[in-house]
Amino acid sequence: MAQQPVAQPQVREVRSHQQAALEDVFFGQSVILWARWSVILAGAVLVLWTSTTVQQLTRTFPFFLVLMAMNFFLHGRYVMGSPLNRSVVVAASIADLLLITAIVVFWPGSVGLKNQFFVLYYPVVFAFALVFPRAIEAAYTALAILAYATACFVLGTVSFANGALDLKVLLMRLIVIAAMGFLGNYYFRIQRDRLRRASQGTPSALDELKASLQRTAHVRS
Amino acid sequence: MAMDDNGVDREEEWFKWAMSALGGDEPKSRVAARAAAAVQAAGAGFNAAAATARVAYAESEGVRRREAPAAVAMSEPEPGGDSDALLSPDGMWRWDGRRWVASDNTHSSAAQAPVKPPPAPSHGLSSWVSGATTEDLFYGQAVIVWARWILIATGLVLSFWDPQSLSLLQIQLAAIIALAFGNFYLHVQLLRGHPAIDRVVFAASAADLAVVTTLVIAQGGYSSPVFVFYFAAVLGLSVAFPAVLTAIYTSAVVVVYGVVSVSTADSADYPAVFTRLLMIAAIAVCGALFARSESHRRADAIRLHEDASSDFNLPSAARDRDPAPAGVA
Repeated sequence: MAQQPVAQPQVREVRSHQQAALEDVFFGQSVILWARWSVILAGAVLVLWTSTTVQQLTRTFPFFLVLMAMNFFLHGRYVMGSPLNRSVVVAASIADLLLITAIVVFWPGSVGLKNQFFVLYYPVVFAFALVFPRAIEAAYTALAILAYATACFVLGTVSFANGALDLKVLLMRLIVIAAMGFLGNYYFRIQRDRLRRASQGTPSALDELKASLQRTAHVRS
Repeated sequence: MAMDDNGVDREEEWFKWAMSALGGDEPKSRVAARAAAAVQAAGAGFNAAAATARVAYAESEGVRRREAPAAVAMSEPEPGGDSDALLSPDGMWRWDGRRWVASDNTHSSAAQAPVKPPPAPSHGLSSWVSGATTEDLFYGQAVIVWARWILIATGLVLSFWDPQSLSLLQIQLAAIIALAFGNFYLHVQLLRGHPAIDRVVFAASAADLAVVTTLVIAQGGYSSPVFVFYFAAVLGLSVAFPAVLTAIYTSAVVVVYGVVSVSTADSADYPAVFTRLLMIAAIAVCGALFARSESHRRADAIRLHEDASSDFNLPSAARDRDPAPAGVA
């Protein structure tokens, strides 16, 4: 016997999928912007701190000035409430990767694996993973891994001698870059689900879990 | 003291809820919040507290949230008159002598359906003592558990890769196995639907940081490559913990690792130490910012949903409004 359909209250959906995706980019931008500010701050301080000649300072500092100008523009747009094109955000994030890789490759004194400024990759990859869906995030994380690994190998800083300890260190750093992308995006997807439930007025996963446990306990008793 | 903090937190949460769900009148929302918090403190559930808040809000002097339908041009009837004459033209509202109320029980229950309060943005330090499981921590816990598995798996594999000495390997393996057992327990709890209470999660994250610090010190401080695991650990706690605790944990990491590094590095390496510390802090800030932003978005979504639901229950003249754009400003 066919069941009678149960009348559901007409509750309007307050967010479309497309709208939610646009909002993800808009709201997530602030994280990317702050991650970039941290990279700019670190880079600027390092350049000022470690430069030994005027020539060195004048050659390296303009890169950070350009990045700073770009971030001023992007942050200004964000503060004014003008949503930026998703492509612009992706392009700016790729520019971050290029700049960090340039630091790893060209930093005077220590390059490639010996360069200690690879940690700049971490906040950038993490922030990106909090904004974009899995496929784009995976591509970006892979790009970061590829860029850093290529820089280390091409510069000949990874030695296979001495028990391949260099390779071990490189692998550890690459795994953490991958972890930044994976964990950031994992949390991003959890939050999407929570937001979707909130928009639809459905109970949260935790509420459902508690209700299910209560039912189980009730049946057992 | 803890109880006081909880009471204040609860009243604040109810105040926010009342402001968003019952209308924007601050004094009335304050009265409603106080009443709801008091009822809840006495052991009542959410529905009872929400109902109390609504009554307190409506009873407090000033404007009523649910005004009489503007389209209904009725002169005020005499109390005690014919009940049919007290109905609005659409039959959905009835004059009870003092205000317009829903005309029947079904409609009334729909009109007054309790809405979920916006999620608590942060429980602050009270999370330490409440012995509860916070919703934000429940979701963030999954990230922490996976971050810890990454730390364990990577650490285990790399420990066997050209170990430096027996004693170092013993320390590494002991620490990693201890973490693995702890994480297995937490993961099983999650899978079984029994998320660990907040204090256990906080303690586990402190243990992560302690293990990484132990390994860093055992491997020579600044020169140890293991410090990269701080990033994964801080990432997990930054998205899961309240902002205050994130700040405390991150500050502890920065101070402890900073001292260890500075005391074991050459002065030429100080820029690198500075960069590491700054990036650890940056990860924490990014995670906490995102978690807070998402909390606000969810609160907005709940409010919009509640508004949309209320529109459906309002008299016909008010029903034609479009939902507020959930907007990209």
